[in-house]
Amino acid sequence: MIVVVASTYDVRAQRIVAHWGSHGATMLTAEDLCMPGWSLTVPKLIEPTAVIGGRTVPAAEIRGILTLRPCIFPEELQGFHSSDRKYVAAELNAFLLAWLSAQSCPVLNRPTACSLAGPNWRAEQWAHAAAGLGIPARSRRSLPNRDGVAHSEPSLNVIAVGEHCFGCDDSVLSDWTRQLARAAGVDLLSASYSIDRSRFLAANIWPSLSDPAVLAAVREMLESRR
Amino acid sequence: MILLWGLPKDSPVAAVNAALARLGQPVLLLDQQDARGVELDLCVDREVSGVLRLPQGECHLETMTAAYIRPYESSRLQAIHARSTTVSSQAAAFDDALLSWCEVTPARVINRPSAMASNHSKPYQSSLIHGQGFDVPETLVTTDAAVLEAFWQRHGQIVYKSISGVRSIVTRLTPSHRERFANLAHCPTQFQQWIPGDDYRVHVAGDDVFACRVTSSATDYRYPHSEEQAPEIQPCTLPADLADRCRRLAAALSLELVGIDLRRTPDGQWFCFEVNPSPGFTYYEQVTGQPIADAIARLLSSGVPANGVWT
Repeated sequence: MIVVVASTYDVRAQRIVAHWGSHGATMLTAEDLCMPGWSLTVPKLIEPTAVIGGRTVPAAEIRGILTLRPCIFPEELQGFHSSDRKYVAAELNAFLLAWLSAQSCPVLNRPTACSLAGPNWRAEQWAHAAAGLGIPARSRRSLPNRDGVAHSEPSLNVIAVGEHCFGCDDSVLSDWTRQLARAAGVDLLSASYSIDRSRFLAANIWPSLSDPAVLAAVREMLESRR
Repeated sequence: MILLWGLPKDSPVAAVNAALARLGQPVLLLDQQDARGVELDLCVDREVSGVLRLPQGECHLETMTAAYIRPYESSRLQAIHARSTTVSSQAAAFDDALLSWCEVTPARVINRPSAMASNHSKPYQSSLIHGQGFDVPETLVTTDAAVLEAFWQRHGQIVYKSISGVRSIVTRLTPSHRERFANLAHCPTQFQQWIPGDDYRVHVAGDDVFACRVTSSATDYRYPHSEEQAPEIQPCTLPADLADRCRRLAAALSLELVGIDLRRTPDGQWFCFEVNPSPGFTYYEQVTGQPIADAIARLLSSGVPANGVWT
């Protein structure tokens, strides 16, 4: 089974699960976390179990996990009283972080203490990491933001899935993206660069997975036993 | 220049501020409740630079050699929450920018936010603590009453507490709780083997270790039910190898200041419960007289750590 950790309302995740239907892909939602059948021990005493798609599943049955969310938000916990949602979200996030961290199968991207997937870096952290690798990059922020408008410029996007890169045939940009992914400790990353290919602009832990070739690479990575 | 960021009346912030004053260190105390007129320019490439403009003057971020941070969530601060939505969102944006600076600056930051984050998930942090060679209480997180019953039977006495960093009162599980087991299905709940013995709070500030023994008959000594259960706190010295392990644990978590919760069983086994990355150390300092704030001030004054490059 391939597990896609996402919100019930995430249409993109639903499409991915549908695309991978023949591979036993199933969504793991916040609603699943609120069903009987979950168990996790620290230190490990028993095999962890999960509830995925409404069914209790032993961890050994999971071949790979794709996490498409940084956290569970209180607002999506409509089944709880509004005054309880913030606390319940904190508890679900704390549990899901521990559970994802305990999985031995491939997890894209592996959780960190800061996010259910990847390091949750801000723009400054990406720019600093890129510049430290010798990639031209700079991040500026001024507060208060007087014009109130976020400026964006046209960009080239490269998606790294492990060592494979998609979206641009520029070997320099591909190499930069792989280096950035390694520095961030992630296997799945989208990086954008200036149109003249001279500067790093931004990075995204949750790239568009609409390209079938990217999806195939992600699936291959999830199904590769580590 | 040393940055203190938080609430001036917050006891640890006030204690560190006073200790830095005794050392004659220049301090910029940034009051989180009073962000009026504060401007920030932050520029990051290989270097980290910028300017913090305050009504009383401006400060170049490159001149900051250290920071002690205890920020609260802006939206929960009455002084900010009570004002306009614009003020509240500006405060949140400022917090985000300064937290970002805390992550990338080569200055010594006690502690970097990303390093503190492990405390937001107790079972996650417990697995890290266990990985550093400490015994940890056996812990179960479950939504399943049958699994809980088996865990309870295995240990005889167990407690429950929050999974997240949200503070909760550690409570013993009793047979009367069984009528609430059906609620388990609604949200994973954390249960833990009850460990008998005395509590020890260990503060590590750089290489300095301050330990105190906490004796109380309460399940959670922070919340005694009666005067008889009020904790008795006495300074003590840890065995040297245990003190070293505490230093190594703090270093492994990339934390320069921690409050480590240990318990020693009657037969001498040490368990580690939690590592608090933003400890309210003054509670213990006031009782024991241990100079924890002074140690933090010395650490802040010692400047950029040798490995101060951002990783």
